[in-house]
Amino acid sequence: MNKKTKIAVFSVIGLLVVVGIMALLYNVFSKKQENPGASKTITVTVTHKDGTVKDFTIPTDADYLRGALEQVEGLIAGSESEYGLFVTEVDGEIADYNTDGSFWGFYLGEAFCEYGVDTMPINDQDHFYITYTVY
Amino acid sequence: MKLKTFEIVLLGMLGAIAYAGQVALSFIPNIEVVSILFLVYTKVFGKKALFPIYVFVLLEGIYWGFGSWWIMYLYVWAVLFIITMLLRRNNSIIVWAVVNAGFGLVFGALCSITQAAMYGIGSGFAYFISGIPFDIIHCAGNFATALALYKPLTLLLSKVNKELVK
Repeated sequence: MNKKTKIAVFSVIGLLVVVGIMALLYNVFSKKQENPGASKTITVTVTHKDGTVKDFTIPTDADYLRGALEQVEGLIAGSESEYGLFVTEVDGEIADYNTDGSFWGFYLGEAFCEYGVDTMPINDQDHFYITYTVY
Repeated sequence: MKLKTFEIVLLGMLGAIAYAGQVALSFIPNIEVVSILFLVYTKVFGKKALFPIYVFVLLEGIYWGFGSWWIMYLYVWAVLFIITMLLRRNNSIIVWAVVNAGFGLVFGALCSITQAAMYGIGSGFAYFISGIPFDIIHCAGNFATALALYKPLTLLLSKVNKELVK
């Protein structure tokens, strides 16, 4: 094997090692379902543009946030994207980023949700906050 | 770095091509041709490649809006530029495919720096972790685009650089 081939082979191996390490990190640190498919109850607090606050207690078997939120009629609506549902309307109020920079911010406790509603896992007694936010 | 009028037009167009490529493929998450374009621009034009890179960054901001993600764009492409400049003399297509793929793999980690600066280290880490599946797709996509496009783009732009610019 000449020097050039060796460099190419080792660089590919190095890349695969880093991919493996990242897959491992994801496996260890990503938020997971504690009991997939089990019954759970979550609380959702919606804060509207005018500051009014509304609480929803949702008993559900859904594993992801979207499934639970869609159990309450009219709670969320939006447009489908490659990342899942992009929520633009919550409890009848629309946030239009293109008009005034407003959007619905999703929080689990105090932490901003880093997943979309389709992939945000939920566990029993989770408390989500959905807040009208202007960028 | 003093540019001739022709070079300014050419490099501006190269930035616009990268932008068009990004918008055209924006419906597929993390499959893009921008990285391989910037890699080849840098290999062929050297430091002049900063011009199309930042034309692209500006156009992205104008089109998608100057959100917090735009701050990331100010430095992530510069990282690819610096790595490419350091390895510029290399001609192995496999090595360049690995560089392009590696850049795709760490793209989320680089972006999480801004997230951490704005919302705290915990948020930055969560951002990085949640994006890993997309980073791996980005890595595979970048490896494939480099294998497919590195050689023809390098030949084409080297010819342009040799015959029209120098």
